[in-house]
Formats: sequence, C-alpha cells, structure tokens
Amino acid sequence: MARYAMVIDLHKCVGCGACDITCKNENNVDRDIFWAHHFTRTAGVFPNVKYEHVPTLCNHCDNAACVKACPTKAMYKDDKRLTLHDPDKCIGCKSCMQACPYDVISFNAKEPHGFWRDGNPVIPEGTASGKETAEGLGQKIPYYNPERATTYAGIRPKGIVEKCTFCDHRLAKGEEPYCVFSCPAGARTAGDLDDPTSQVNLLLAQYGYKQLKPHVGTKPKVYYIRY
Amino acid sequence: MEWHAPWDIRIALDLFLGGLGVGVFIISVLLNVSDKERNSKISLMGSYLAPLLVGGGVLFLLSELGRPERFLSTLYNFNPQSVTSWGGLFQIGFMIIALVYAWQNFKGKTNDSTFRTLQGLGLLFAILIGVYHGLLLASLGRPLWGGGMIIALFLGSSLFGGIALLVILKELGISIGVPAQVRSETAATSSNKGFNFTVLFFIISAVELVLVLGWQFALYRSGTDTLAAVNSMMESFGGLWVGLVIIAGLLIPLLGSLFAIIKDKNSEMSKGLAIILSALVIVGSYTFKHIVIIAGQGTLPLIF
Repeated sequence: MARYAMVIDLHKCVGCGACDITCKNENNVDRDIFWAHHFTRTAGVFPNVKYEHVPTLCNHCDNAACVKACPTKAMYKDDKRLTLHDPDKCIGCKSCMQACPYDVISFNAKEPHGFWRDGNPVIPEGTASGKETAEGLGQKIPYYNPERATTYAGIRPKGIVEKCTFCDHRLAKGEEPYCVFSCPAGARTAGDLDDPTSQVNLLLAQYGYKQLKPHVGTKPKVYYIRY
Repeated sequence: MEWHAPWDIRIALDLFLGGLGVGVFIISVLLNVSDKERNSKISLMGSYLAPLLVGGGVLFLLSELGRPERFLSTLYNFNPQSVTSWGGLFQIGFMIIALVYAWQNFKGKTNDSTFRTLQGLGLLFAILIGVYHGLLLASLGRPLWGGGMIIALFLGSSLFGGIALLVILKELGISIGVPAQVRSETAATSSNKGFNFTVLFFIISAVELVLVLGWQFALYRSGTDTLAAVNSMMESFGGLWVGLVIIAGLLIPLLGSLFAIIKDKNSEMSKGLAIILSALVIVGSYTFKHIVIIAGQGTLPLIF
C-alpha cells in the first residue's frame, strides 16, 4: 500500500496563502479553523535579515502522537498511512490536541459555520449578512463541497476535533490533495514514499529536506526542501 | 511562548478533586487497618467522601468533554496505548469499589472478608488513579509535563491533600453519616499511641517539597523546549507558584508540623494549627495542579 507524504518547496512558495484558503473551500472548514496554515518568522538584523513563510498542515506522522493519545481510537492510521479521524468515535477530550506537537488539530467549541446563520451584516447598511446570503442562495452553507462527505463528515459538528485528511476523498479518486492542486507556485508535491520513482522521492533525493520538530520522534511526513 | 489551552480549569478541578478523593481513600483505609480504635470516625468519613470527591472530579471532566454522552465509549473503543483510556477504566472501577466500600462501612459490615477485599481493591485502584493523573500529563509529551517526576509530584500532592482534608474533618469534629455507636467508641479512646497525623504531615510535606524543588531544578537544566516552558510558567504564575505552592502549601506546613513535633513528639498538633496548616496544604495542592496544567499547555514555536 502507498505511504503518502508531501514535499513543500520553500524556494517556490511565495507565501500567498492560497493553500490556507482553498483547503477551507474543499473541506468545508469553518472561519476560525485552519487545516492548512502557516507560520512566519523574521530572523537576523538589518541588512542581514531572513524572512520565512512556512506552510503547515497535519504531518500524518508515521509515529503519530495523536493516535496514541486518543482514548477511543477516533484518531487512527489508515492503510495509506494517513492519520485520519472518525467523528463518530470522538468524545472531544482534546487529548490529541495536547499530544500533537504541531498544533494542527482544532476543536469545534461551537456549532460550525455560525456566520451563515448570523443576521448581522459585516458592515451595517453596507453589506448583506451571512444569513441573508445563505438564504438568497438557498443553501445552508454557500460553497459547501458535498464531495468532502464521501470519506469524512462533510461538516464536523460541535464538540469534536477535526484536522487535515490529506484530502483522502480526492486521493480515493486518484487526484492530489487540493492544496497541492491549487498552489499557484507549484510548491507542493504529494506522493508515495514507498515508490522509489515518485516525485516526492526524487525531490527529497535531489535537495535534501527538513521536517518540523524531528526531535520529538513523531516521524512527520511533511518535508520541506530548499529552505 | 503562545497560550493555547485546550483544557481549562475543569481539568485542573478534575485532577484536584480526584486526587483528594484517592488521597482520602488511601488514608482512610490505612487508618482503618492500623489504628481503627482511635480513628474509626474519621476513617468512616473518608470512605464516604472518597467516591463523592472522585465523582465530583469526573463531573468536571465530563463537562469539559465535547461529547460527554460518549464517555463510556472509552470502554468499548478502548485504546491500550492511550493513558486517557486507562484513566476511564480506573475511575469507573474505583467509583464502583468505593461506593460499595462506603455502603459496607455505613452498614457496619467491617469485619468480613468482603470488606478486606474491597479495601485491597480500593487501595489498588486509588493508587492507579493517583498515578494516572501524572501519567496522563507525562504521556502527552509536552515539555513541562515530560519526565517521570510529574507522576510522583501529583501522587504526593493528592495524598497530602487527602490527609489535610481528613485532619480538618477530624479537628472540626464533622461526622455526617457516622453511626452513634462509632462516635462514642472514638470518644472513649484517649490514648496518644497509634497513627500520628503530625508526623505524617511532616514527612509528606518534606518529601513533596524536595520533589517540587528538584523537579523545578531539573526543568531549568533541561533542553530548550523545557526551559522555555518553565520560564513561561514562572513569568505567568511565578508569584502564585512561590507564594501558594512552595511557601504556603509546603514550607509552612513543614515548619508548622516540625514545630509541633519538637514541642511534643507524642501528641498531635493543636486544633487551630492543624486546621490552618491543612487549609494551606489544600490551597497549595490545588494551585500546584492548576498552574502545572494550564502552564503546560503553552505552545512553543515550530522549528526545523
């Protein structure tokens, strides 16, 4: 079976944040939650200053701390070595969030997508409210992607956690994760680590790589090249 | 360090009340076994309080869960790798044993083999829960909670809190649900020999103080992640840590009990001193757990 990983080329990444936004569209992620995210860091003193923009997502670790911490096996490894989440088993204890060294698991503290039920306009007397927009379009949540629901809850309910699934619904159809597909700079590559001819292995062999917090022993499978 | 705390005060209350409960239970059983004549009243009170305290802690835990109605799924979806899973098992097991034990006590059935079996099983589960509290944190791999010392610290704090609570009940003469016969038996026993709370106070406060200071020292000598975590804890909670945890919760009880022992090694502390020191211990125990739980959730910067 495949062992999926992602390579992010920081030399190509322009820090546009498209991955952050398109992931939300593809996976129906609420406003305050990010499956795909980033951190920035400025180091050095002028004129020798280095600015980093590093995209982040679930590392789908081979030795996933969240899977070990989950008391109900809601976090699990599938046959593609992806770290996935079963919303029907989750009790919302947040042990996985505590165990994850990468801070990429989010908790739904409130009923998600409240914006589309809120009657208050963003700008009073200037814009429509989320509720008006949703009613106008005749949908509970505009831009809802029904494809997401084929392998995971289309929208994760209040009281449970959620996280990046590596777009397993797209992988099942032979497509690449949506952040890879939508990156305008082509900075992301996804593929099978067990296939020596895969693009991810070629990139890793060509450039060498870094991983986030390798010292914690989780064996993350998101690799950063040309940092 | 950024603050991102998925667990709030309810988890601190769960571990605090649960710790008090198992501490009370352990001391209650020890009193029953070692010095039943003098302490049967307080031992009985302990057996009633233990399930109430642990149950109260579990209620706080349930209120913190996003889906509390699925709590029992920790049993049928049991994950042997998860300390949280084991904790659910231990707490359910303890609650059942402690409730039956309390009932046996209430009914006065304290001399049969069932009672002794309940004591043994209850002690086992109480210790498992006491260990679980620290192990839960240690298993999550966060810098402040790493290493095995947190397990001993939490267990020690729970025991100390349990002793302090029983001392307060003893000194205030609270005996709700204790049969009149037991009350009169206890009053008639005036010997000073037997279980000595003052000596126990002194020993546990000394051990816990050494553990806390040793733990803090070890954190300051650890790697960058741990150092950042302990520095953050002291920046945010330094005053409370030194004032309530170290001085009020450990140092004053240590010196107070030492003073009482020097004064008269065979008798207990005076009523006023015992109540004040015990109250300080309980405040210190809660503050310790609260700070460690909240401060341990700080988010460190992601680094390559």
